[in-house]
Amino acid sequence: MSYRFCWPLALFLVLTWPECSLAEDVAKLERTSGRASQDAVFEETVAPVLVRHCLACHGDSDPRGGLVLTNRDSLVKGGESGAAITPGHPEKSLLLERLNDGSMPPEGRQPRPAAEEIAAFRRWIAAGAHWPEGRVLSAFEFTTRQRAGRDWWSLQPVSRPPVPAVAGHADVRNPIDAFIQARLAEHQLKAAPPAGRRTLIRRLSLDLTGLPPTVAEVEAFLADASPDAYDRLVNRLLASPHYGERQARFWLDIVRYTESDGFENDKFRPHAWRYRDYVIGAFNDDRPYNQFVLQQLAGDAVAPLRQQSILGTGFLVAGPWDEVQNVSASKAERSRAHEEQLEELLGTISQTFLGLTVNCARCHDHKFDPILQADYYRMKAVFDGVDHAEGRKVGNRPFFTPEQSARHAAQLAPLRKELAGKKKLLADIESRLPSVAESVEQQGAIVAEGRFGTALNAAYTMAASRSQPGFQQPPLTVECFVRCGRPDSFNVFVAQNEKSAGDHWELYSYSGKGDFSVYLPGYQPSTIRSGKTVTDSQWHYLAMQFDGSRVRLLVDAQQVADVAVTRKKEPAAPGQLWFGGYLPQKIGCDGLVDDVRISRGIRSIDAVPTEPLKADETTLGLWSFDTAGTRRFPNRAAEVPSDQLKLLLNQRDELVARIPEIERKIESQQLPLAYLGHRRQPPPTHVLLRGDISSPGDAVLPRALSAIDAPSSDFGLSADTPEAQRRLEFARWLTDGRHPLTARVMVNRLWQWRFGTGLVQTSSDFGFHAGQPSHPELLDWLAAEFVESGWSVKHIQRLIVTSATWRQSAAANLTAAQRDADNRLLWRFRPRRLEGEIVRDAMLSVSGELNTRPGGPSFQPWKVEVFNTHFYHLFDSGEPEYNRRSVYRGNVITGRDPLLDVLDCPSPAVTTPDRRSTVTAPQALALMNDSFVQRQARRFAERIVESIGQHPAAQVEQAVRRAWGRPPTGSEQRALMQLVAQHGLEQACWVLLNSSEFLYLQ
Amino acid sequence: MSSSTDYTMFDNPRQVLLDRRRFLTSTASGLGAVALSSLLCREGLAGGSAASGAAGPLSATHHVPRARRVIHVFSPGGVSHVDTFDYRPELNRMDGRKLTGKGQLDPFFGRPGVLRKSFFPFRQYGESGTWVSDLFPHLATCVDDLTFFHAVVTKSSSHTPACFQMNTGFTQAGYPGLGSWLSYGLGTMNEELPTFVVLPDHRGLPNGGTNNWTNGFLPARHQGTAFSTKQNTSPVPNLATPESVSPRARSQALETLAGFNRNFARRHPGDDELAARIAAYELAARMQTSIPEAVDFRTETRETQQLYGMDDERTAGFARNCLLARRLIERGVQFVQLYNGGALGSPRINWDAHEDLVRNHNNQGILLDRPLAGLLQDLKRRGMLEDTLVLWTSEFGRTPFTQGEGGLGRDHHPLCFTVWMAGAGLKPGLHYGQSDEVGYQPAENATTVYDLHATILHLLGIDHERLTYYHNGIDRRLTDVHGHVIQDVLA
Repeated sequence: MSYRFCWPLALFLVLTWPECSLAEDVAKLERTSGRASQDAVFEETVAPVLVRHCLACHGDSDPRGGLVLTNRDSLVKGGESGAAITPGHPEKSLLLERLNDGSMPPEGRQPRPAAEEIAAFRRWIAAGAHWPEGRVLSAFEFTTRQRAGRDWWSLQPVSRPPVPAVAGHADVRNPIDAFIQARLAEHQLKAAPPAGRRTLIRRLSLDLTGLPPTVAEVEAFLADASPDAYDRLVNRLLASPHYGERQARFWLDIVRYTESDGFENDKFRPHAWRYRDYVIGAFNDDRPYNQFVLQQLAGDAVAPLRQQSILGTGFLVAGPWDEVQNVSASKAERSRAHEEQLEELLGTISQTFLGLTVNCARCHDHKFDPILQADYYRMKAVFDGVDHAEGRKVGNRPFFTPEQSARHAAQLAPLRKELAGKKKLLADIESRLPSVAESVEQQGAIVAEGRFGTALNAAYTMAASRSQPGFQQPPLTVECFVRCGRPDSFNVFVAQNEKSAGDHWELYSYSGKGDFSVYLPGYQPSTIRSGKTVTDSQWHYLAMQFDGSRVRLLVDAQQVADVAVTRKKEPAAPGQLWFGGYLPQKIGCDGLVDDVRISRGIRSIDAVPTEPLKADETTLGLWSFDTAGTRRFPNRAAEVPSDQLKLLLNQRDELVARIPEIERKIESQQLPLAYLGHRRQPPPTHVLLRGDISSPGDAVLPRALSAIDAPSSDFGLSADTPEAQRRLEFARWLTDGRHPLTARVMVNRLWQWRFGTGLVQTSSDFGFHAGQPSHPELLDWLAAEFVESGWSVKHIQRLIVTSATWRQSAAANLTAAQRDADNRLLWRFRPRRLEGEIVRDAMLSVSGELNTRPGGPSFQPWKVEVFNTHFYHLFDSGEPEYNRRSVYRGNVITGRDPLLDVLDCPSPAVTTPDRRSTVTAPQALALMNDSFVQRQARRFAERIVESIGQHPAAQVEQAVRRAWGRPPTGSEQRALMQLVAQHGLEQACWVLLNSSEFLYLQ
Repeated sequence: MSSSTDYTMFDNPRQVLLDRRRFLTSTASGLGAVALSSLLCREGLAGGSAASGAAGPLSATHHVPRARRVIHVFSPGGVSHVDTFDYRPELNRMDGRKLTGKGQLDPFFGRPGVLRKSFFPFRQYGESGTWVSDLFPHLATCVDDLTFFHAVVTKSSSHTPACFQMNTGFTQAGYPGLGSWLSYGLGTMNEELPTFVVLPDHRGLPNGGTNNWTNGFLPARHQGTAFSTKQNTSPVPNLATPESVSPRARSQALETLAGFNRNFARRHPGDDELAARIAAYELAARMQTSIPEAVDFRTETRETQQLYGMDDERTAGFARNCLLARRLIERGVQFVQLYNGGALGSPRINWDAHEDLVRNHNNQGILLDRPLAGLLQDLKRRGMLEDTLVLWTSEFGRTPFTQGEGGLGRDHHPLCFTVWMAGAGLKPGLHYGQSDEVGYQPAENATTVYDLHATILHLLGIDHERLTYYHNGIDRRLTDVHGHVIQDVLA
């Protein structure tokens, strides 16, 4: 494979040598004898022509005209028009003829082969068309004008370039400056003078921690005359816990960290925040980047296993997940969901760590980069075992090591045993005690005139009761009276336990026909419909007789259904009993429900009762709903003698007090959970032709990208390698110090975070689209330095912020702006707007409202309404919990903060390697009128008054110092004081919070 | 920093470069005068005031547009094509039989029932002789203005991915919708109103909620602005100055702020974004009057209000949205999307007729029929249909067989369904594509969602392959790597 290393040289020769010297050189090479030099002629003159001009159409797959030009045999054999060349006879070589007459490459294809390229080709044929043994050409070998090849700069090994010497009095504080100054000098440009100290401390604090400096911090820094004052400030800020909170936000954008599922349901993920805290911790601890990568991809497979490394794998499931599609009854739909999910995951992994868009090769070879379709599926084989859930069981899992878990389980065993015993006893007692139903969700009168006395007015409320163990145990008879007039929706009359429970039963009318039906999800068939409409606004007496193997339904004592059923799901713990609705899904009942009786055994039913139902020895529950004026409906099945009842009640009270104690004790020792998803051993992975799930092609093995030679992308894994091992090997490949991309991509991100733009502008794409870095040597120097420092992120951060380059002022320079408007050469520090989160945090900070409590579950400024989909109804609250830093706000996909939204915070559903900065009218409206901003302005003013008192000049001075980090000028002072005098200090604070100087880093 | 501002605020640098170049070549080759003048006008507006965000990256359309604006009516839940606009007499004959010969049937809930003839009788209308079911007596009178696509195919049979595909071209969340692409490509016609407005059903948001009108990776100003359609609420958040702040205090504070921001911008010459901020506050102040004016119906005659069905309490909610849509496009809004239904649940507030199609479609049909017909008629009589494209879609159709044997509903059906458009640049009364005899699969001219999107962009003067945005390594398009303009429907 060593010939590959010749390519850059070959390309260099072809592209840069003057025509005559190339020809001379070729001639010289041709004169030298020997196979090696013949091989060299081929590699340097023939291979590039074929690859760059021919292989796009005449490669191995689907060749035009049947002509394949990747190997000698097929070249000589030719295609539909006959042999392409005749060795030794240029005049009889069709290929040469086509090249000469310009008909190939086809019209319009650029670039055209140069005359000397064709001449060299001709000489090669004349000399016998030597083709190196076993050599097969690939379209991916060389970079062309259309695409990147394997010789693309970012795929070549990193070598540490020498630091350039800079002449003159340039301000060079570290090697970064030398590289930057050298480039500036080439363009006859000069760096801007250093920024002032006030500007620097504000810039540094906001950029490293996301919080503005306090007035005292500014003054202390100004007063510190020691030469290392700045370095100490940098060290203090790098050591601040707020450093990680700020840097983590960048990373969370890239890995599209979401705390809800997205798609149809958009369910909240209550345990996802642990990954967020993991990332913050990793930045604060300066976890070596190679470990950081390893933990996120395979932290559950490293040895020794640690909690932190397991938590890192939250990365694998940080993105959205379509629950509905994944549990669809349609198999094709489920497979599609899996493929889409994997494409999204591979896209995120490859863009995040490699800066490559491997996801583009799902249906065909990559259009711009040397990534084969097979590479996509090899990489897919590595991650094919990753999923969010197992069926509907979502991936909230403990993150203890196996030893910790075992030890923990042993510790808890006695308590668990005690709890189980007590619960069983309680259940036993309760099954012999009557339970009371209570009205919930009232929207009007809870009772109305009933069949006997009053009835539950289910149109306006429903009733819920504790379900007793006997209620779920067939044989069983359930009776009730209902009057209902709404066939067009489902009406639930009585429902026992949750629908997901194996012992759920439910008496209801079916939407449409309004016929009496029963739903038994634990049995097959699960839906039993009687066909008998009961939603005709008349009273009906409904009954279900259920003996465990047959279900009989009766309407007005007439049997209307008799169906055999078989059990398919085990019963669950007793839950709730609902009357006139089913609360978990907010299904109601638009009518009345009266006298509900649940009896043990099959009660014979011959006639419609003409008087209220009574309790007898088989009655487990009876509710008559005759208690007007209260929300409670007693269970009148209290048929046990009163002494015994008292005894039972005493026993129950004791248990009821004791059980929560044990539960709390267990809970307090419970293993915490994290959203880590589910892993499975995948079946063999196949290439899918055109990405189509119904067209599987060849099987592939877990591998990394073939375009990278060192470290080798072949880990020697087989089709049955455990899935965790696959991820581990892939992560090791990535974190091998020789990897050309891992370090380059990360140092470029660090650069982008500090300067707003990377040395490579497309920080998640180092392929063809990236073009060339603005400072290739600096990028490599930083990458080498990064690896040699032990992958220390803080080391690189420190190098950057202590450089003279980063410390330049933001002053404009019109000459420089004309030559380099984009500031790619870094002739100044470019001002930029603070990210939305930082705007919010900075407002809280200057108003004195910021709650700096770190970590833990996210604050959730919303109420969730579940109506199949989860709706997040936002509210605005000034309570301390909601004044935490923005990185701790629950990052849900459809419950985004409108203020952050207009400040360009991205949707957590997609990976965002760089924030944009837009300026819009809705943004101005939000900053003007949003209740959060109003409140911060008010609190800001109140705090000033608290600390300064009622002296307007001092108030204004203090407010400006807090917001801008400097005292006001005379005219600023006058303008604000006028505003304060006429409309109060709050208005002045509002102006400051809306001002560009507050919102921009400069 | 002027050119750098262009892309930090608009696009990526490559894009700007390409498009400037494209602009030069297209003017040199003598592009339509209309497009050019609007371009110059936008360029003028854009100079130093990115707040207005006036110019789109296209600078000029690729060809002369036929449509200037779009109204998209979306009926979520899945409207049954065989019970509305796709008349399949063969289905009557096959009623009650199992569907065979079409390969494995794989409906969403996995229980294919028997073929079921339309639940509603069909009649022929208009000079085009178009068959419409009795569900839509008012829309039926408009058929000669409509262009039908009877063989539309989408990718997913689940609601949210299918909704996303119809809106954004992709089944995953996070891609920009048609309205965002237009906003990005064409810029704005009235800076005092949003370019892309969404009018959700007054009963609730559709599945996937705000994700249906996200700007995705496009800059935030291309996001759809959802107007609150509940009565007596502000249509746009933060529009009104808080009551606690007097108008005089606000105006003096704004004046002080503008002074500070001007000074700051002056200290950073060349940083256009800072100048744009000043313009943005001025524009925001103008929106505080322009939006309330747009949603004020007092200037509409009683006759117009009745035409939309505002006199009937059943239809009044959607009628208000239809009338508002007309008022918004009159005022320069480019893309208005109306939802005729919300998310899933029971009782259903969308077209997801699993249990009882007759009842469900009757309820939904009444809500849609008269207001939408009123909108079409109103646009036509005002001459606005000339350059307005009206688009009606659902996310998919419904199975020609029942859901489960003996079922009264139909399951989701992405394999073939009907969409119609009306207005600018289309052949009216045309039926493009055909479903097979029972409405299960396309029989002729299968039309993908990409094709629909390509055609819509074409009508707006845009080549769908050339409206691109670089994101994460790919020049993204609304149509991904697919889509063909359907020439047969173009007038």
